[in-house]
Amino acid sequence: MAYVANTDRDRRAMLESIGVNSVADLFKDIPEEHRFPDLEIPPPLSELDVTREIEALAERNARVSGMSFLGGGAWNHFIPRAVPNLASRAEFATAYTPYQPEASQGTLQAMFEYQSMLCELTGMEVVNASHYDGATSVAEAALMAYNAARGKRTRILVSGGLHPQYRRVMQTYLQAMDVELAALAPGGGAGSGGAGSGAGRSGAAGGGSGAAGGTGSAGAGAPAAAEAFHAAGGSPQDPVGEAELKQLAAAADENTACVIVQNPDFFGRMRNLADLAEELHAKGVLLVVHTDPIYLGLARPPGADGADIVTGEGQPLGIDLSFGGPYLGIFATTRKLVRRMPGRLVGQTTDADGNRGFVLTLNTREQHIRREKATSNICTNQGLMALRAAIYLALMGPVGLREVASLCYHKSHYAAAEIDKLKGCAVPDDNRFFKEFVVELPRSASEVVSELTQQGISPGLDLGRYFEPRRNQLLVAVTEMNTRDDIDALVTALESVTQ
Amino acid sequence: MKKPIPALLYEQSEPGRRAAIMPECDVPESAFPEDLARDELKLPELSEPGVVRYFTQISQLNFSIDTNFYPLGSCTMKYNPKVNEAMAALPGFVGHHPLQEESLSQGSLELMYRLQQQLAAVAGFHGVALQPAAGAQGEFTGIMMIRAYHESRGDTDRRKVLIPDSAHGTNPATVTMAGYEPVEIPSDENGNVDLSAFEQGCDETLAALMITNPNTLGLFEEQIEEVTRLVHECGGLVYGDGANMNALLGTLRPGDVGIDVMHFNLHKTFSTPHGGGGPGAGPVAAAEVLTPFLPGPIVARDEDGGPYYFADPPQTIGRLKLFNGNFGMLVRAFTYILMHGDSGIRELGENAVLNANYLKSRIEKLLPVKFKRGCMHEFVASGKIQGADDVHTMDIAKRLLDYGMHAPTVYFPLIVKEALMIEPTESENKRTLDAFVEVLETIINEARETPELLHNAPHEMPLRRLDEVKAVKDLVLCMRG
Repeated sequence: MAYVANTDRDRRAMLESIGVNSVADLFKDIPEEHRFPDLEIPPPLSELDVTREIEALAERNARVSGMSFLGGGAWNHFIPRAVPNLASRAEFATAYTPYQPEASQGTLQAMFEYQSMLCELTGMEVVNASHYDGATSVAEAALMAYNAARGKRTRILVSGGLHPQYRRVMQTYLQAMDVELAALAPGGGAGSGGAGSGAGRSGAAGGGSGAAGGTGSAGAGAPAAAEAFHAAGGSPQDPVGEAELKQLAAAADENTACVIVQNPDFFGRMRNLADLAEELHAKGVLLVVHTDPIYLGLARPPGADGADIVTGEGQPLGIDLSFGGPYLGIFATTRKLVRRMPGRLVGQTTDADGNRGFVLTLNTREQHIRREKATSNICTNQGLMALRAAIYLALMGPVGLREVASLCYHKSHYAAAEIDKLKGCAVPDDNRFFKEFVVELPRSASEVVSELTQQGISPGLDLGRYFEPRRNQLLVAVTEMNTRDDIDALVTALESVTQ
Repeated sequence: MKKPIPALLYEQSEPGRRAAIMPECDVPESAFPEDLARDELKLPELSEPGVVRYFTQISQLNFSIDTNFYPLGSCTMKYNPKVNEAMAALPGFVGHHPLQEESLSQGSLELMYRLQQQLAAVAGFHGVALQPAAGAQGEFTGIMMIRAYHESRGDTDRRKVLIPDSAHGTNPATVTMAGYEPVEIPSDENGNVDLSAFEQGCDETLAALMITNPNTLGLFEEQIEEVTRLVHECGGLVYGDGANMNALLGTLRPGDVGIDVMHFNLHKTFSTPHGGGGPGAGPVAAAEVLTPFLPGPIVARDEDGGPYYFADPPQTIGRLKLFNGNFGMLVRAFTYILMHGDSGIRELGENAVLNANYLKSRIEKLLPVKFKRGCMHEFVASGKIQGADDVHTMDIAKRLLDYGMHAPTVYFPLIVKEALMIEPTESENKRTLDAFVEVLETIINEARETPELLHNAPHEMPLRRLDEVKAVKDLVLCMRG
């Protein structure tokens, strides 16, 4: 094979040095009846054959590019050419975790840049060198909040605006812990969802929830009612959700480790979190805010609102959609909580001559030192994706990032205003949304999606995929990639299938 | 001349400098709510040439597989083929939204389906889920599946997970996250699991054994079938840590010796780039008994053909991350397996083991190697040099950098003092391995004659030895604009 470097002559000399007669002799510790199995995969192919075959597969995916309005956790944003060009440099891509800092200053300095720019963007004091994606960042934030309370607070209170699939990831992460994932019930009390119940078309998340369920709190609704309410993504008639913030603050109690709010939320709604942190802190409850880094180009950062942990999906920062990954989990916190934080951290130091350099630091939190007492089992980060984010932000600068955010804001509001003119279609009437908004359709969203798909337009996400009561709703995402013509074509197409 | 280190982005920033410029707004503008608006945003301001030079310059401060021999034990730093990158960057893949309709995503779904089959075939398992994002997440997945299996049978008193003392730190950390109790078992004088200590741990409270085979000493667990049989007899299941799968490519399918569930590290065994610490990918393979518990969704297809679609296994433990796993990494691994085919895969495993044994045959003449058995894909030497008592493994590691060789993994596994864990991989040829031995010989002579050369190493790198204690004490984690 092309990637094996020894010749037959090399092999003979090496076997002689080892003192065995054949390569097969090196495997005699393996049980004989299982040694050298028939793998039942096809024979080797040349690079040219492989390229043809995989190119054909890639072509079988339909291309929608500018005519796509799909968001829901991953968005089509512009990626300057310099991002993939620099990030694909082999010196970055084929290096390992910087365990030998003197031979890894490129990776370490890039991670420090990432941490620095993300600190500014989120308004937080500490950002780690990244997690797998936004969903796992949120799940790790819940674990961190639970651990920070030393197991004395076992409830994680989750806003109805959190991405439903994030909730499912949290259920998986937390199902073995003595933790209760709670949601607001109608009327504002907290009811337990338990860690084993799931929403969405993919069916229930894991049987065998180990979580204590249904403890409820003052004014709590029945757990089943809370779950149904949550499955609906809060109330479909609740466009702003500002009321929910007050209810969350009221429902948080002495047993609550943290409140998790997504802002802008899964439905694109922007909320003012200025008062929430203070109310929660008075009760010893941490505030976790999950956000979109593009939104922070325009908006007051969650750190300024007093968030204790900030998470985000970093995919918009120069990372390809790539059918769902690899993405970037942003994870930020305060100096006070840094020793509770999971994941890798890069810190500044000096070398033996007093010159500035960078190393992995606070390793005593991590699994390779602490083993079973570690803050998490996380080992790798998403180094190359954090690098892409760092390059992206360096290229955008403050003005470029504001421009991207403004374009998303203006274009999504233009799209909403035009769609609102269609008979039978309604959009949020308070205009407080960013990049994404919900359209109430006069008919099933899944039918609308499949009919427009035939016309080469992906009009957005059918919310019935996640929330049965929202089957007539479409989540439309508009970014700088969609031109006015694209938006007008979407509106015309929507009109053709709804009037 | 030492490579210069450029100033940080904030230090280079000048107000008014621009790189990326966005299009004019082509729609009417809307006012952003004042109560939500941001006052200031202090990102660095640079030109595009400035950004390109900066990141290119700092990249050159790294050692990498493409530039240096990188024998980092347990990390499988093999060559990452360029065709993998090209395939993962095909426009039909990178531009494809994960929530796109399944009918429009058949190319991606077919690739995932076929990769599931390839991985199951290579490792001898029944079902595969591609979703876990990294090895540690794959481990967590496996233990949660075992937990769900026991609970589905009402067998809830099982709390204990046995872990050999040579295991990676992720193993015990995973067990804690899964709500179980890790119990460490010792290794015997041959580097195998100590069978008598092990048997004592096999009782009705045993949930699982987590075993890395070959273990982190690079030794194949000779009693593997006995060990898995004992676990199964007392009602437990066996988790196989696939970190060292490169040794077994085409030489053993772990599913054939009683492993019930294992993860793959696509970034080790199947050549996806390590990226300076990720992204990885940690698919999980399961024997028939655990297949219903795999994380969802996995890609399915009806027996009579037809389109590919996502489906949740019937008793799934749930979802590990958003969307469909690290798809870009999956494309790379698929490319690699497709290209190698059955015979090529075996050639990888054979040459990885050949290279390690050859290097061991030469290095054991220079440094102590505790276990005299033949090794698999890696081996562990000790950095104790006769006649140079005050020289430590870390000194040898830092001095290797001066000679342009990345250091082996140091001080791991914990059960070998002054450990140097060496994994050459099949990508290297004899000439490179011989050069490494020669450098080690030189360093050993230096250790005896001029030990301060090692104590103060590195000398030729962009920076001298870095002060990790100061980093913790001062804790400077970012620079503000």
